[in-house]
Amino acid sequence: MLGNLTTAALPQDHIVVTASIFMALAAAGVIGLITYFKRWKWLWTEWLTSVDHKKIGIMYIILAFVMIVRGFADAVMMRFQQVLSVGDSYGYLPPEHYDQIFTAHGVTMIFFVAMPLLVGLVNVVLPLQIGARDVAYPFLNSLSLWLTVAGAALVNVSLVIGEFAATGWLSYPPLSGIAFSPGVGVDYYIWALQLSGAASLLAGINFFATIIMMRCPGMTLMRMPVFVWTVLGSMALVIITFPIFTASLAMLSLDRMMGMHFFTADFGGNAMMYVNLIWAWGHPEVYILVLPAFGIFSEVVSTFARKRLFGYTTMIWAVMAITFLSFVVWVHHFFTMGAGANVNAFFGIMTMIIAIPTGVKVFNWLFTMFRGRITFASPMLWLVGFIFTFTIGGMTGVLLSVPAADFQLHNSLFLIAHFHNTIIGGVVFGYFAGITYWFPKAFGFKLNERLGKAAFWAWIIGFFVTFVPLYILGLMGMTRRLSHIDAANDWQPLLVVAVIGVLIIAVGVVLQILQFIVSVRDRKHNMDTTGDAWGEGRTLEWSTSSPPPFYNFAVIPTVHGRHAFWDMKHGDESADSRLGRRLKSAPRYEDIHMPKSTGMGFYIGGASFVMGFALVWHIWWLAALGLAAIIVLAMVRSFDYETEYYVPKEEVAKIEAARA
Amino acid sequence: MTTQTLTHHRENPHEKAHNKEAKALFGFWIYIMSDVLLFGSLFAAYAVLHNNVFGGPSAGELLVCHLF
Repeated sequence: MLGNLTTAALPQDHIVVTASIFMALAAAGVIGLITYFKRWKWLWTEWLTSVDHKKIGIMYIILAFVMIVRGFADAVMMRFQQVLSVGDSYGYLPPEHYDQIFTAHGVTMIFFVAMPLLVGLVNVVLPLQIGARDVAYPFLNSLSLWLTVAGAALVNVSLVIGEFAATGWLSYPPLSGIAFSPGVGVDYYIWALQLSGAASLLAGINFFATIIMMRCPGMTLMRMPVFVWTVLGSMALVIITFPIFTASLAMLSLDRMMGMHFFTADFGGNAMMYVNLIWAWGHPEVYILVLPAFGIFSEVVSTFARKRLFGYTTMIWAVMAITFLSFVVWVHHFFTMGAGANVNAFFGIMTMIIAIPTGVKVFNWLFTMFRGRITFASPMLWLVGFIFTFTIGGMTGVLLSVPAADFQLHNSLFLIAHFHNTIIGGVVFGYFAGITYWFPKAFGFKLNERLGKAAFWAWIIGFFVTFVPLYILGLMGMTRRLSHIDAANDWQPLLVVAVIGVLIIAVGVVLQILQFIVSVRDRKHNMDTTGDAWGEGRTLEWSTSSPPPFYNFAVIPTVHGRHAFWDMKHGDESADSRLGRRLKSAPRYEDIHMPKSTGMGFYIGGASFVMGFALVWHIWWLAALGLAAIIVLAMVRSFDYETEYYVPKEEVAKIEAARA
Repeated sequence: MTTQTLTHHRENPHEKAHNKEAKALFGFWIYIMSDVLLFGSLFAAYAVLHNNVFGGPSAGELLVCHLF
């Protein structure tokens, strides 16, 4: 009846029991609060069923923040295990649990923190920047969100019921095959990522179509803000690479469930094929994450240096070059495969070439700051920290791209330090800058600057204290993922330094949580009444109020240049500003066409979760039921022709008058 | 493309329905292209593995036509 699911799947280890109880208490607390304030109906009608891109974006970001707590807790546990488990001492984590923790850390951080932050920020900002009222497919957007939530829920359920994969974040076979990982851990991994992968693909198609089809009149491609361009590149990568990811996970699950031999060590399977396929997705994936961060910094730097961005056109070409090059470097993740000197040389050189467009971008940001009147608000601090950190990460990347050096450094802590250097210094700093920068747009009040700056300093100092020792340890020969260390290696002092660093980062995280609490408490003092929260906005999102009405723009703007909002504010003689003034003075409203809220995305996400859980535990009837539910719900939705409605122009006029 | 034509285009009453169809069609084609890549990966896997038959019959032997 319940497949492989028995009571043996419940947690026994005291750490897991504690974590489970903590999770249950947190969930009970949230449910209790909602019930106490009688907010269930509000939650359902205003948020869970919403297809408004701003609300979906905010829900994505909330998901990311819930998951970052878990991913960060994993990181702290790993650092403590390594520093304690030296010589005769074996630390506090048994190896099989430690292995699950480093796997969960990677999976959580990439798929359920970085991706939701990316999609969330894009959701909140992108339609506003291109002067659109919503994304191209609002229902699909809601579906993407709930599929991502279903995947995240599977990862969290694995903590309590059963186990998670203990194979590393990419689950290489043959280790992840049924012969060496007979438990349900890898199955949880596969189905959580199939759901969130499908969600990412749908989001990719959605935003790609939004950028191509939904720009306001006058916004030609070369007038789009740089953030929009970077998202275009990033979403093209999503569309091209996520199918490869889906296919490789599908083959891995066929190996595990049906006894096939795509990647097994025997019967003609070829494990290296998985490694090639997964990195053909995995390498573009890191550019999927970092390109929009580049876009955020391009917006931030011109706002806070009060100058137009230096080298717009070169910025765009650099983005496109990186987008293309990211497809031809995947072998640098496994030079040791033995593809031969020529193949390795090709991929090594291609990897080095990526440093050129990236360097172009770095110089563009520096030249934008040059002779600007810079305000060091916290987004700007993240930018400066990013340039410093990311450049170091890029240089160690070029070191690793030399195949001969890589043979020594492969799978060492040097590699770990390198990619954290680029992902924390690039992606995380970028998204933090973006959240601080656009927070007033989404909520109508600014975040507390003092705590934001303090959090930045804790993060960047903590970052270097943690990861510089890892570079040195890597050069000393320490490999990644060790749960126990020989005392003779003399690695412990540097590991102690790394633990101190991670504690400093923890201070930064606490400061950020405090920042949110304090900012909400003092929101009356930080209100943004103009819509142009930083006073120097150039792009269209600042032309509407903060937070924007649900239809974003009462009148769809027409743009005549790259700095659409700047022209509306400052240009006096040009046609742009005359039009801008006219629109502001005597707006002529029209009926607005908007999508209706629907619970269908939520239901399909729920059915997907049930199906995924049933497939993990081989509860076949339940899996069939879940799949049938998905198909039926999708059909019901397809035959619903009443998915949109009109906001009459009188209503628009009333809302606008009330806001003014 | 001048702004004039764009503004005019926007006020066309049939434009909205047309625009919605165009959007759906565009997204549909992108989705099909992503599916092409999914199957492309599977074909690539076949190309890599089709000789690894571990002593069993290969596809050529299984599908050989005995009619003639």
